[in-house]
Amino acid sequence: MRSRLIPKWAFCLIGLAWASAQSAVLAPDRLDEDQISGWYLGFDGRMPEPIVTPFMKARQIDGAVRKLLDEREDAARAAPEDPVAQARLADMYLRVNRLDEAAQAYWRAARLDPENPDVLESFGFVLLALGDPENGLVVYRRLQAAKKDGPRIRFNIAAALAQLGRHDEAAVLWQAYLIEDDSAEPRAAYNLALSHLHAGRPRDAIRLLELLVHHQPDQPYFLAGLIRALKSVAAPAESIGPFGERLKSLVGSDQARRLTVEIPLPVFLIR
Amino acid sequence: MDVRKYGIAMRGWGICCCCCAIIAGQGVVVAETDAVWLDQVWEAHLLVRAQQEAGNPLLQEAFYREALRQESVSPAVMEGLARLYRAQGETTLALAALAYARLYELSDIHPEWDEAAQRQALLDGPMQPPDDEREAYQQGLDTAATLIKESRFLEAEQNLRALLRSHPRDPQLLLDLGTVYALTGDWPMFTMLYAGFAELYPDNADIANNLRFGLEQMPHQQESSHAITPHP
Repeated sequence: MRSRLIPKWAFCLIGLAWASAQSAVLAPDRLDEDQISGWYLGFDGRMPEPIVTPFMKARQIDGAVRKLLDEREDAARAAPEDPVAQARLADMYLRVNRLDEAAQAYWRAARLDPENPDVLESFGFVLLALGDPENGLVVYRRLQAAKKDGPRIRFNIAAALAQLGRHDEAAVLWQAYLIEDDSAEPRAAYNLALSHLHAGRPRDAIRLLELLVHHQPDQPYFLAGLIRALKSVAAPAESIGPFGERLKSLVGSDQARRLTVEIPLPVFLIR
Repeated sequence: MDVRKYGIAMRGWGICCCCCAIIAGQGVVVAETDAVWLDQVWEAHLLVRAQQEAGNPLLQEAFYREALRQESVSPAVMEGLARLYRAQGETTLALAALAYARLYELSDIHPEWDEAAQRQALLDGPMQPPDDEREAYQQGLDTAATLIKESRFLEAEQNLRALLRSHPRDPQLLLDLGTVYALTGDWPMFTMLYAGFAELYPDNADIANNLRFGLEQMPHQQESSHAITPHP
């Protein structure tokens, strides 16, 4: 009886640890070399498995990471009033994609040091990554009010606005970001294209997505976005077909259908 | 009814005192600057996560319980917990969540079921199991007691809550479950349980005192403890 029932009830005391382990959240993150290669962005949908595959893999943490995590947990437990220890633990949780625990640890750190913009920004980022744009936006607006503004903050505010369906406002921010950012950040261009698409400007979306697909022909989210945009203007099947075939070859039929029909395409966040 | 014969007061107080010593000093010192908005954001976020996990009662409860640990008690959390417990057939805990909300004078709660009728049905039911269930019941209690002794609290809680579904007003079960919450420092759940317990047995001084003790473990919620009438 014990072994059958423990997992079901374990959450009662473990709480967010269990929640974190269960959440399959797409958390586009920085361009870590060990997670992506070349031009690929924060996630990789090429495997015929869930889109979050790389992040799920990140949970299978190796011994060294496990050790580091244990050390930081011990340090945070030993110094519960030390915001640095809490923030370092939160960083570690974020690294292994235990987002609910990361959010909790950032919240603790922020309570202890509410003036620390880095901690607040990370807290807001994790809330957004957990699909909570309302509260994430509150945190980011606080940062702005405290004059801790910057392109990255405005990028993620736009992501929050987009998640809230405020696509026109999001588009303005991403456009400004693209003008400001010399590298023509493809994540911002993709996000802007999605906002155009949602706001009823599919041709603007197509223009951007065609450019993105030209530069990154194997990026499944760009392909899926382009296919959706082309469908929304009733483009002929022969112009959509090649993109659909490429997407299927990259992620498989099931995943391709999900990306082009069933699930809302995610926007990128940046850290 | 003299609930003392079930050992409520002695065990409850003994365990509570031990836990108090263990947990003392583990509190987080909060900066003096305005962190209230952060707490509001965090609680609102936990509610969002609970709603996101509407199809997963286990996760939902995890988020609600985390929200229950926050400094303020929100009607949305209590209503969510009450609904969740009710949906899972845990009437005792559903009623306890509503009783806990009353302690804090939270009025904006609409559980969408007849609480008074549920409580009456519970009170009309047997306090202890019928003879043909007695052996299995006792085995369950013994198992839970062993698990508590071995500090296997997760399993103990699971066992006791399973038993409580069938015997929803059994004082021994409520007492043991309270013990688990006390030993794990889960004072909101301890207090919620005793809030429900006190409504089932309103004249019992030991229950009232344990309830007050639970409230005292949550100093940030002290202002509401006046709602409890202390018994001599």
